[in-house]
Amino acid sequence: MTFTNESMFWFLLVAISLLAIGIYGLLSKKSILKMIISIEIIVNGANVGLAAFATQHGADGVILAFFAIALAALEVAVGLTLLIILARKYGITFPEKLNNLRW
Amino acid sequence: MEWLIYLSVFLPVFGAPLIWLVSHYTDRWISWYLSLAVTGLSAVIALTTLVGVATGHHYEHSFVWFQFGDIKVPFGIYVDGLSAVVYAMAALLGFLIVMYSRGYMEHDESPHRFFMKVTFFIGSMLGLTVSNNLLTMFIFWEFMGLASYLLISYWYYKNSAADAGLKAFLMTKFADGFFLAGIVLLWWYAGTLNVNEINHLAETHTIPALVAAAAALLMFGGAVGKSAQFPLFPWLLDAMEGPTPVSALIHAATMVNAGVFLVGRLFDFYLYSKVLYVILAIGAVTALIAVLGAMVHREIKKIIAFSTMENLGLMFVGLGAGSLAAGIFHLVSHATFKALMFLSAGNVIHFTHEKDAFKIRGLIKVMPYTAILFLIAVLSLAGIPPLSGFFSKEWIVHEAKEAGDPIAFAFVLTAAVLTIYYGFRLWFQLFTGEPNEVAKKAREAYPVMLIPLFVLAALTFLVGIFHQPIIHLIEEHAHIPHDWALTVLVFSLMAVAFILSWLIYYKRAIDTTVLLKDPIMAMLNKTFYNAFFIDHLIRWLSKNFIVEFLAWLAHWIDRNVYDYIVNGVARTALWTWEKVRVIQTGNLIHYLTIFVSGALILYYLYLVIL
Amino acid sequence: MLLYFFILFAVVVATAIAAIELINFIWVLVAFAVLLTEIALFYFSLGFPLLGAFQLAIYAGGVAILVLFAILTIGEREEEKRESKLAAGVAVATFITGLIASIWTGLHTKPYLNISLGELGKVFVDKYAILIIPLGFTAVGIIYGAYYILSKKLQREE
Repeated sequence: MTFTNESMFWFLLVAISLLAIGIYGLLSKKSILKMIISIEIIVNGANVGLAAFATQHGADGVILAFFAIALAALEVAVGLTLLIILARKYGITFPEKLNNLRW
Repeated sequence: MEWLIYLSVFLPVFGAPLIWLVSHYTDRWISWYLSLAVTGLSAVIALTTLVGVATGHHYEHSFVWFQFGDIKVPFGIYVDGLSAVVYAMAALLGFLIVMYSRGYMEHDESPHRFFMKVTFFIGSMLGLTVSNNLLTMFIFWEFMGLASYLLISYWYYKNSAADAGLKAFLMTKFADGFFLAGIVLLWWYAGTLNVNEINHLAETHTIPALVAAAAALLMFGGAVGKSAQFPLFPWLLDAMEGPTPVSALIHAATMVNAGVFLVGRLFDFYLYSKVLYVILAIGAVTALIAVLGAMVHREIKKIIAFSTMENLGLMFVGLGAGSLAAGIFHLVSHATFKALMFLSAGNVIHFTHEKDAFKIRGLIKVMPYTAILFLIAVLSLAGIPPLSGFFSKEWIVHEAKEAGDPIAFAFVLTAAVLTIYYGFRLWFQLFTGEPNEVAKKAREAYPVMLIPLFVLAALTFLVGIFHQPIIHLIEEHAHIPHDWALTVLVFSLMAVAFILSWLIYYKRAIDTTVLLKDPIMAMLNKTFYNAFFIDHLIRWLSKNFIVEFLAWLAHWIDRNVYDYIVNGVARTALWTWEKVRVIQTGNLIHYLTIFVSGALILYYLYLVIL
Repeated sequence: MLLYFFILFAVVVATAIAAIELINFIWVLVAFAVLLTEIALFYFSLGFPLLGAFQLAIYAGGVAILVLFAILTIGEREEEKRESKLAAGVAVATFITGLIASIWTGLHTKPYLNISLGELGKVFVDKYAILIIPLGFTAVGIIYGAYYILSKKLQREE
């Protein structure tokens, strides 16, 4: 099994590493800021994957990545707003009180 | 021409709700003018068609109504001599009866409802007579059943009327089930529903004999229900709860003839199927039961209803004996004189407000025109030349004799002879003698009620005089046989019956109450009065079999099987909810973990399934 | 070439872990900004310069500054450390799954397509131009929503 320089595998490896790290951060950290950053890492991993697949299947993947970047920026804006509100009220860690979604 | 025939059918059918709508928001009696215009147009078209057919044309048009897969559901019309005669007759009678209803319904609060239903009915009847395939026929057949139900229970606030409507609906629907089964069977084996094609297939012996017999019997089952034959006739007697014009139109002149028309339309098929003997037998039994009932009943409309039933039985005898022209010609002649009779009786009922014939005496001095018109109808019914009834009834008696079954012939002869007895019984009772209290309050009918009656009386004469062309239209080479011996026999028996009737009800020389003291006579009277207890039998059967058994079983299954399943589903859902809801911890991290794991598991599932 | 790639890869993984694990928010932001910039380099090496430019402008520029302002607002506080074996397990499972899938996909790599800027623009206009309109409305809605929530919150505190 050999991978040349031009192999897609390396880029997919980057994408998957970013995804795994992002998931680990999302699930293990209590700080809201770090959760947002984890989400951003996951989105970036996905974008790298999209760009890598675009080299095989045409320009659509890249355009999707453009849209993903634009929407992720918006999402960060909202996320940081919520972060500021929550941080003022409860502090920087994700509040245990926010558990209305339970039985 | 074909599109005019379509117009004559669909204008009444789809215009009926519009008649109601327009009249509801303007003047309610506008509905009468609208209905008159619509049915008048249909009658003109129908008569034009009749003239066209008489000059040697015939009209056929057919299109695919809808289609799924390879199954094409046809819709179309076919007018030849047979259908043109019935078509024109129904349209003309419908028009006359709508005109008459202006007088009869004068005190009614919602005439627009009445005229909507009547117009709808007339359209359906016309559609039935001109349809070229059994499915189209079945649609209009059911439309007529609906119209009949609505009109019988027209006075819905009366319990008896509502019950009668329901009874008519259920009984005819029960029979319609057989009709539909017959249609499906024919479609399955013959591959067509077109009446001409079915007749042709029968002539060339292409349909298996057993299938043909089964389909013919099943479709005759539908005809039995619609045409009030033994054993499904009790609804016709109760149907007299409806307004009298309705009884005249639907339950004497047109709708009940639909069964006869169906058999006539498929006559070649019936000849091939070898079930004509069944038709003959049922017709003869019905005629006998009906004539005996008519002899002992007291209500005017009940007597005429029994008379209708008897004549329908005679029509089936004519068809069953193998003569298409005899049955259908009797249909036409019966329709005219029976409509005349019913409407004259309607005059009597409307102006005396009395249904019981034995509470009215001496109306001839109060309502002379009505009396004479009624007399014409009775004479035609009894079969006195040159009125229409003479030709058709003699012919049917002759055909029954030719059929070679002595019992059936005896039944038919009895029925044909006793007609004059109950006809004059009714006429003598109503019109002769000194006017009593009830009669004195009455008056002669309005012109709008009398004009249709005069037209009908003229028609009765005309059908009698011009019987030969009509018969030729129905069946090319048919002619009335001249059997002088039989005619002499029938007329001598009729003279005896007439003298009896004259003695009892005119001279009052024989007192029937004395006769009724005898227990055997009383029992016979009761049996005849209740039409051999067929109604009781049907009631008993439906109570013991349907209500007590089938309905009980359905109820039990519903409660213990379906309800159990439905409740079980709900209970399972509740139990699952109890057990599963604990994973909803409210902790965001848990949710995320489950989400990511779920995504992973789905991915693996996707791999495994691929 | 592969060496250059591995250096980049190491930097990306290291900065990603640093962004997750560092305690001081300022250092978190620095690691995050470096990570975003490095990813832009991947785009350049894949042959999508415009995407790389976008990445630099929006992520490394805009988002990083936004996060910086957020940190300035809430303060560069420290947080308690928390170990989560479950999270590590899920992440490792994801990584292994992705690795297998990547190897599988990577084995079937065809030669790279040469997607020129003009072609990109053509595909965009042909297929996706209409998407810009809902995207624009969504963006306006989201930004206004964020502004609204924040201003309501700030008003209530005053």
